[in-house]
Amino acid sequence: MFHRFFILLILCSVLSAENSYQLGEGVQIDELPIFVGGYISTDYRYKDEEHRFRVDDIALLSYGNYKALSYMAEVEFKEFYVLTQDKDSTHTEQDNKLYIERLYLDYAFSDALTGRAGKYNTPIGFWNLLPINILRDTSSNPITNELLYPKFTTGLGMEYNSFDEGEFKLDLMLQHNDSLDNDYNNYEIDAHYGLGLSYEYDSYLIKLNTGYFHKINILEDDFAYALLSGKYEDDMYKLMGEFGSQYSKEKSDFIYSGYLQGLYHFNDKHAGILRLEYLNNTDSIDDNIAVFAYTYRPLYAIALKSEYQFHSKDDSDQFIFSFSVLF
Amino acid sequence: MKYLFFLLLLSTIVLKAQNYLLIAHKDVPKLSENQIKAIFLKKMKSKEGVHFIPVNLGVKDSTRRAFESKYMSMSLQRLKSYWAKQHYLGHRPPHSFKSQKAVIAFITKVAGSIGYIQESALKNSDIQIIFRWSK
Repeated sequence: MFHRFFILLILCSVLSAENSYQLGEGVQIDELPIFVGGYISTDYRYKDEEHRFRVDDIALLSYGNYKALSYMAEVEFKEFYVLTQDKDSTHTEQDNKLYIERLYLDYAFSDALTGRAGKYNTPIGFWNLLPINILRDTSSNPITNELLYPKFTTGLGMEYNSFDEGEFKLDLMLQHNDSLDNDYNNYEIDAHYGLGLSYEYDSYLIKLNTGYFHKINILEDDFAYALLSGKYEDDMYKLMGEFGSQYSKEKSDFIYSGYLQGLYHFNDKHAGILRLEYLNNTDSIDDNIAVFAYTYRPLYAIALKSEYQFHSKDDSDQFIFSFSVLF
Repeated sequence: MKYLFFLLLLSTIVLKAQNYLLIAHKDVPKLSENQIKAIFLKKMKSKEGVHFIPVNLGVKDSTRRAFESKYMSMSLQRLKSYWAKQHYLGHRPPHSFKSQKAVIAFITKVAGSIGYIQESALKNSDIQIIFRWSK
């Protein structure tokens, strides 16, 4: 409880101290090279005759740099308040634990080469780098980006970046130790080695990721994964698609998953999205999904989103409405 | 008489057109339009050993709108979306100055700096003009 008040107190004092503050850009602390921001998201879901309302994320982030050194720190309440109601019962849950979402130091060896140490969002595909509701096109993530690789890596990282007429980027991920806040990751891991290559020219971006990780929770297992991503974006349209696979050593088995998504901006504030997804597994969780979504942003940093998901898997169709703010 | 009227109309249009300059410190090397966009998105950080420092005018400044429309080829909403995402990733947009005079003073003094002004605001020849365009 104390943490919540502490965060709100910091936010209020910081925002009121900054006259030229614009929503979604964070604020600078005095003249120091330190910036503070955050985000909140709430959502409502109707699925299989069950209503669920969540205050999902309440997060505070801070970053800054001094010469070649920079840092990022982000703490978050996850599923802070959850109310579920079905035909027979209503119950609520609260998770007051403050999780460490990201905590890392970067060192710029040169304009092209940056090294990283700490816990960071694994830089794979399009969705995991910006994994918060307000920055996503839809309330939900494609299932491809939920299943194939660990969302967080705790260890070392390296980014090489080169720009001539287009941007070439190389990412290296290295974890050979326990994770920070492991129960918050989609996989509890103690090893992850990953490689990413991307090239962006004009409105086009193509990206390839591959890697290996070791899962330690429930059934211990080793996994290898690969993900190919492509995107075209202009002021009116965004077309993107990703296709990936994961191999389980224990099961000697592959998962395949992919999606295609189109987004059309009706104007600056309104956008319609259609996404077609599939998941193929020899287990019984095959699914084909069609997502119809509509997003309204009165300001870019405030989003009201609704979506309806049709699933081939039984009793999985759902409606989601969300409200999120970046500050 | 028709030609005279046409010339009069044309001269009015020409007189109304505003000229803009993309300016840079003397040490900034030759740049393509793609590279200028990348510098202002902070994707391209250096070239030929020169570290770039892009500078903007205020968000509502008409000269900034003219620059973004010419070189960024992104709508205002898309630019806001880009910088909101960069904020989450821990990166800041270029520093904004309140006046063209301040932009010129900064670029004259600071190596690698690059910005834009209206041509009429330039009184100093000690800076490099990279591009000139009209709107």
